[in-house]
Amino acid sequence: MESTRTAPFKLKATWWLGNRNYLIFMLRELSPVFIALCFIRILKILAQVPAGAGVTGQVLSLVPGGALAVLPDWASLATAPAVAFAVISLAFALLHSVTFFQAGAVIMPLKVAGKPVPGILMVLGNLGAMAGFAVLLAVAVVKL
Amino acid sequence: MSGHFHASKSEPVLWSLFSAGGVISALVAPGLILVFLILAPLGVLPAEALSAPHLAKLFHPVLVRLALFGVIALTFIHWAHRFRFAVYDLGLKTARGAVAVICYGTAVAGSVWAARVLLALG
Repeated sequence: MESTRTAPFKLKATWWLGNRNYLIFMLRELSPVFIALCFIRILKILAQVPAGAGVTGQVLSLVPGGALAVLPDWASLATAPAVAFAVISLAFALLHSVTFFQAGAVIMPLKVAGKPVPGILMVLGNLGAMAGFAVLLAVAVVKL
Repeated sequence: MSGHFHASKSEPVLWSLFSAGGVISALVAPGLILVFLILAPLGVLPAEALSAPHLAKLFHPVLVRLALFGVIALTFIHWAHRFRFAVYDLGLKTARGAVAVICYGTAVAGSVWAARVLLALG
């Protein structure tokens, strides 16, 4: 009997460019790169906080407007390229959120009182939680 | 080194961490990016709220720093896992073990750095 031979499976590296769904899939795969880079930028800002929050910073924070003397380097994040990068990253983060919530609604369907919860409601609920966190964070930063 | 990164033993753990990182970053990453990298630099938030003493006060509670560390470390692992498979999807046939080590190694190194930054806020 002749042995079976398998032809090598070859796929071009650009296979995902020819179909909209594949393109979205690959963009979604890319989204954590932008999210991780943003977290690194936030950590770099937080890394400057201990130096500015020392004795001098605490004294200055008691003076009206004095806290402004110990601002971390927000200016480096206020340039047009930096803001553009943040906006693009936010778009990728939202793509990640929406696609992850959609997948979650399919993988882990919910039932309330024995009735399945529509997937769209689960996605909207998660998006609401996401928006709620953003509002809470902004309020916490300003008010606390 | 084998073609896979201890595939049989570590894959379930890695997929679990990937899922946890995916959920947590889906919930909080847009908010963190919006507040700290868009609203704050554009001056939408009051400057005093972004001063070092105020941020130090905000991030002083251990629970806040622990939560932020969890978010960041899980997100880094999520990135590593997804990026690893994206590289495979782009056609990489060899050195899969090395790609895995580089991806997860970078995520662990980033998490250690995050822990150091957050510990210093205490």
